[in-house]
Amino acid sequence: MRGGSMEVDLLKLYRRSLWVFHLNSGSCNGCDIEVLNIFAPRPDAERFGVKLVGSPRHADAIVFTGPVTMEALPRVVRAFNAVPNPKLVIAIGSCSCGGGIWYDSYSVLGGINEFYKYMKRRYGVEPPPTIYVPGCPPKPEAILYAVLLARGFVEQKQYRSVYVEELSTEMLSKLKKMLAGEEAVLEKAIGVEIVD
Amino acid sequence: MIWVFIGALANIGFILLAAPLLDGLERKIKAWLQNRRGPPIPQTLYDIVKLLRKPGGLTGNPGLLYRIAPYMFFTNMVIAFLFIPTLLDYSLSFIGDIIVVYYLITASSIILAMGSISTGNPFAITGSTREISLSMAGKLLTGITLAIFVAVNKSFLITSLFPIIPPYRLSSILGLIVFAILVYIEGFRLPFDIPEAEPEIAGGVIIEYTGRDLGFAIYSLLLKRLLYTSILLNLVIPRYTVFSPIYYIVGVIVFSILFSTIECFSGRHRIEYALSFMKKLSLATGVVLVLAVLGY
Repeated sequence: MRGGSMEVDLLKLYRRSLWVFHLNSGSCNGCDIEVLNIFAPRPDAERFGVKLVGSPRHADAIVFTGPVTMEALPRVVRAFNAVPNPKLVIAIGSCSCGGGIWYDSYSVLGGINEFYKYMKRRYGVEPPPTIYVPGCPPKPEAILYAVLLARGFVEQKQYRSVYVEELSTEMLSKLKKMLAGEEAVLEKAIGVEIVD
Repeated sequence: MIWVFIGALANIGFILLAAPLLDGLERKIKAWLQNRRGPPIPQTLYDIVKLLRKPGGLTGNPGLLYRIAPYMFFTNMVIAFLFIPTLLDYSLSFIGDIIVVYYLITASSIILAMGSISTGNPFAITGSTREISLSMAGKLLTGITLAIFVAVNKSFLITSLFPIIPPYRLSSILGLIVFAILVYIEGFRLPFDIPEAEPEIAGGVIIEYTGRDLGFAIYSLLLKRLLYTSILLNLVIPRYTVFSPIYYIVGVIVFSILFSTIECFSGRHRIEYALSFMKKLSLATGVVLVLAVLGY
């Protein structure tokens, strides 16, 4: 979950009931089928009070799929603005999380973060709290997990810590042997002088 | 006098709680019939509480009617419940109150349709035109059916219409059957939920409402459903006894189970089919009204 802190009020408000609006921004329909699957008898999202609504004006959360194609952009903006605040966004699939295989293609904006940048630049709209569900397509269980995460039922499974391992001298000499004659390249790459 | 006031408050408190809970029960039954676990029974109540806590928003520059329509609808429904005995027998009563109830029911549909036309949303306008066509047919049928009971009992007083007492007459039995079908139709249940049509026109008449406004609109629709069920039950269950609240609660639950089961096995039709069905039913009911006037 990133972008805009999840306020306690919002958690309380959506604890018992969450109505979602499915916004397809040019997806291949893989994620859309998986979204529909969470309302099927086996996962049955309705038992958690989740309801798929047809009108963006009724929704509390947007289930966002697709890499935001240029063709869909004006409609996506309208639908996005039509959802009343306070809203949540659940970005489903690799495409909406970061553009997927189309991240630098000419005809797409490239994922929901680029869309937020566009909204900020063009309309001054702050990004709402967003939950990312990567996968191509993600499993219905993952989507259900995201929906429950949005409402404070489960803990987040992602840790934002970076682990840096110090290279030992043995390791460095091994590397040097492997890349014999390319010391200069290696030194440039890792930014330290290699000493025997 | 004070007891009448307390009784009316108890009645209104009960219906405000019962309408969402019954909808939750229906959702649960529909889920069971589809092999799902389904939402908890107070789910609709949670939904409405959530909607009422959200701020209502407006798009564009809608008219005054659009802004006040859900509140007028809600007020109409609550006032209509003052005349109909629900949990307790205490209620407002004067000669001609059946006409007032009929007016309140009819006006609320028209208010909702008018309010949604003023938004300019194409889906809302489609929903409104459907709402008006269906409500013209439905309210005509309601009027004819209530007229049957008025003609049988020769009274415009609601308390004298309820319940149907022996000796049973053919016209009142037929009127009861028609009214049971009408409760299903006017409760915006599946083949007849064409004005709302969630998957097709995305909410139709209520598409532009959000937050608090939407909460009141949905609450009013649920109250309208309960109002029709209450009128039907009052025709059947004995009144003015100690057990009448129990009869009422059991009856409402039985009708919820029955109607949600029927709803689960039916699909959506085009509006022409609904209208032609109601036209035929209205003609048949008109014949029953003639029978009632003739004294059968």
